[in-house]
Amino acid sequence: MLNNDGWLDSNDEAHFKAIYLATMPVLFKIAIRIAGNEEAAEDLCHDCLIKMREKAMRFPTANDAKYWLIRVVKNASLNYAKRKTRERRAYERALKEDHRKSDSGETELLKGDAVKRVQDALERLPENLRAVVQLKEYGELNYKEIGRVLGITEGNVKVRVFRAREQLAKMIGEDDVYLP
Amino acid sequence: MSTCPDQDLYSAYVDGEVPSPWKEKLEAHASKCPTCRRAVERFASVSALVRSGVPELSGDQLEASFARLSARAVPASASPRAARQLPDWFRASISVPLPALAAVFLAAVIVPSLIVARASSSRDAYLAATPAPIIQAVLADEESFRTSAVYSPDLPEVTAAALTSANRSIFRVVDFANQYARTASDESAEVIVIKLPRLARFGLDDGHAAEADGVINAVNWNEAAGPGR
Repeated sequence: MLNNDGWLDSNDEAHFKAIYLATMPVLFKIAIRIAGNEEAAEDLCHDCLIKMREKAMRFPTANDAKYWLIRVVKNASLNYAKRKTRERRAYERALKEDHRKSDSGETELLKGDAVKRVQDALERLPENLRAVVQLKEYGELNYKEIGRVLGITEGNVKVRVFRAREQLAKMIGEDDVYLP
Repeated sequence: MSTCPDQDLYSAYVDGEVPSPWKEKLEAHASKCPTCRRAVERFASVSALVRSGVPELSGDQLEASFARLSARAVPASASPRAARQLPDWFRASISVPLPALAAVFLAAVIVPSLIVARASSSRDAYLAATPAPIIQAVLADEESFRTSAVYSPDLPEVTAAALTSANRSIFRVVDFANQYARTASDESAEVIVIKLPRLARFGLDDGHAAEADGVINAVNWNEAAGPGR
């Protein structure tokens, strides 16, 4: 199955499927948390996998493919989320819609109040802290891998995860943290 | 209380990022210290809260999604975009008409070599077409230029004297100007105006800089200072 040099070739059907199976669950989790909607998340992941194929990318291991894909999916999802926010604001301004109304549309996939509060809190975190938490909890990467994806040191990842959790706990409220 | 480990260690501990000897020590301490136990629980539950409620793809969904992806992603060799990519294009054999090949050869090899040949022969052609006395003058001039020392304002007097005694003339700026001046000059030129090419703006005066394109003018002092003085 492997090429003579043992690399994964994204244009090889079997290799592509292997990369897909190894990365898609994680990619989807990251995309849906950032993009906030299931269909868009799937599309974003597909876009990135197709991009990988079009570029005829080759990776030494499935993990290398994962790091690359996570980085691309994360950025694509962030762009999507930004565009969506911009568009929503533009509509709101044009139609003078109530802000809370459009918010409630997004919440239907969030089950439970505490979960929603956590997600809101996550939104309010500064970008550098949020990215680390998203990669940790949804990307299921360890500190070393997160450092590789974001281009920071392992120690820096550790500190950021800690600070992010501190801030999240404060935002959610100390009492609610212990609920689940 | 003050012997409690830093809180960020517990955050890393929750993620399983604390290596073995320290991990056990943390656990031993947390089992006795209520504050630290609380910290561990807090980090763990924040982590769990963030994770909870994330839709996951089941095995079936994963396969269904792959089917949709495959429908969208035509293999690279079949898609029109990939067909235009370099590897395929590179591997394809290209037939080139013979006249076109000859034209390319003419443009790429023969014409440059002709130009080079002409450039190298231009000096000989010049010498052949010029009357003998002038050739003598040119050659003598070249000779003196080659043997003369390059002028330098900070040339030590001793060195200058040594050069002169060794029959090597000092090459002055005036000599340079006389040889290369665009305008006619004579031996009596005392002022040399060297206009530098406009590589950089030396001053604010844009009008002057615009006309400067690397001209050397040797000017007779009396003429230059004429009526304006």
